[in-house]
Amino acid sequence: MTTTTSRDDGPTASPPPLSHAVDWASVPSDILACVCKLLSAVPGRVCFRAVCRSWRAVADDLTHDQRAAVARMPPPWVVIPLESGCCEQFTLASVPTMQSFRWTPPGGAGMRCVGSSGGWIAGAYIGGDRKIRLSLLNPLTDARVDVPATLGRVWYMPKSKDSTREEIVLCSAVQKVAFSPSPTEKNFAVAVLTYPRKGNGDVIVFTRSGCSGWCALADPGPFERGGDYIRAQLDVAYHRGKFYYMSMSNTVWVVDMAVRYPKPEPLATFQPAIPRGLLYGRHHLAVTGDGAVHVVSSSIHCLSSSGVDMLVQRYDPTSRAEQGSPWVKATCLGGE
Amino acid sequence: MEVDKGKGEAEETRKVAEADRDTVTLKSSDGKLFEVSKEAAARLSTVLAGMIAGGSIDDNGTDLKQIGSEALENVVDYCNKHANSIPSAALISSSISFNTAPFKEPEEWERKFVDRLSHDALFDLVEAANFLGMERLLDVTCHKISEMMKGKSPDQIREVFNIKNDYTKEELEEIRQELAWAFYDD
Repeated sequence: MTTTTSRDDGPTASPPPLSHAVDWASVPSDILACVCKLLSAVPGRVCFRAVCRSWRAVADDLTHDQRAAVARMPPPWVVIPLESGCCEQFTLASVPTMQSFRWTPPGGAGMRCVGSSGGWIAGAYIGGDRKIRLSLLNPLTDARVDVPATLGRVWYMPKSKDSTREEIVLCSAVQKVAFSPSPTEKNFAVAVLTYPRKGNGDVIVFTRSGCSGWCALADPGPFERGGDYIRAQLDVAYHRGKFYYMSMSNTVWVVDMAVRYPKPEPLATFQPAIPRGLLYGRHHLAVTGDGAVHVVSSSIHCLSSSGVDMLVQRYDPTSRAEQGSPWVKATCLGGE
Repeated sequence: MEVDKGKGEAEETRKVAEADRDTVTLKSSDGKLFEVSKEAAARLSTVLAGMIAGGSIDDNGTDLKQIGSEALENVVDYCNKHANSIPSAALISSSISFNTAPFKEPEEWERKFVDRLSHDALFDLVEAANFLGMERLLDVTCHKISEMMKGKSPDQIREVFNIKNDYTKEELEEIRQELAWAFYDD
């Protein structure tokens, strides 16, 4: 019926060409509001609101119209699995606003959340080949980076209903995980505190894009076997291109991942070492916003005492000359 | 439309002839003519319905100065396809929980219709649909735009739509604070 020739109704073989002639920021606000309403509360409208000023104004107007139309999800978030073991759905809740949304990790298979960093979640799962695998996932964009290196193998069928067993296996395989921000298939670095497998005493290992296996970080020193003991004494953290980790002899090591052949270097040894016979003792590594490395130590000397001794030490190389130790007892971490 | 009394009779004859036709002729900003089913145009566009009812349709091509020929061709194409399509039981979307007004999912042919458009053509079509008060076409195009945003970070959305990040450093920091999950870059 048109005066021009009719077009083919079939789907086009190639995607429509990208063009940059029109100004999408100038789209009338009622149209943008219509688009925004069609997006999911999280992450759709959250991302929409962050694009530019005019879009934010549209999203905020919607909020006035419809209560909670744009979810406010400021960090920190709590990741709540919906069942034990590996699960296919999580509830992500923002602590400050208590708003939440249901998240299904992309890729289908269930997983266990074993860590997080900068808005990304590390998920561990047992693959169809019974190998323990790790993926990095962004719940806002549904981006997923599969880490090619595997963390050992289980000797039973992974689809078994024994979710508790699965949980124990995965939690001991990945006791702590640290990774670079905004990972992509082509650019990521992951370090894992794992359990010493048979014939393989490596407990702190790292891999990065382009690697199919794990590289051991420096020997953490002698330790007694047992997952809990290792977890309590060792830790690994990432900050600005470097992994920091500690050995059983209370030395903090640093390895720069930007170089071609990353080589661990000792940073400093902290005191006191946790003496034997302690009921509970833990060390944690933390990097504050200003880039300073901290060691957080906690200990309980006997069960009857209710108190837990906590010590936070800040690594400050300038104090080595003055006080003989680069560790300064921290009383304030600079938070609000 | 005000009828010139001097040529009232001729005008009347012409209007009768026009009323008998089942198509209307539309003229794009660059002067191209398109014919569209009168029934579909009146049903799908509140603006065209008003013009038809008010008799302000020009037999030689009703001027639509705001709409270019490419966009108008798409509008007309959409109207005529709509006139020919057999309406199916449209599904009310269940996935949009926060929506107040029920939105009918685009039908298969409507999806195909917008999928083949370039970004420019889609943009022009949205504006044309808005101008002509074509609610259904707006829904379909907005749905397509929202699909293009799904699963993308703010950075990626800006890239797709060629939008300049006009936030100041301070505002960006504020957004970063609020949305560390979407923005984090160490």
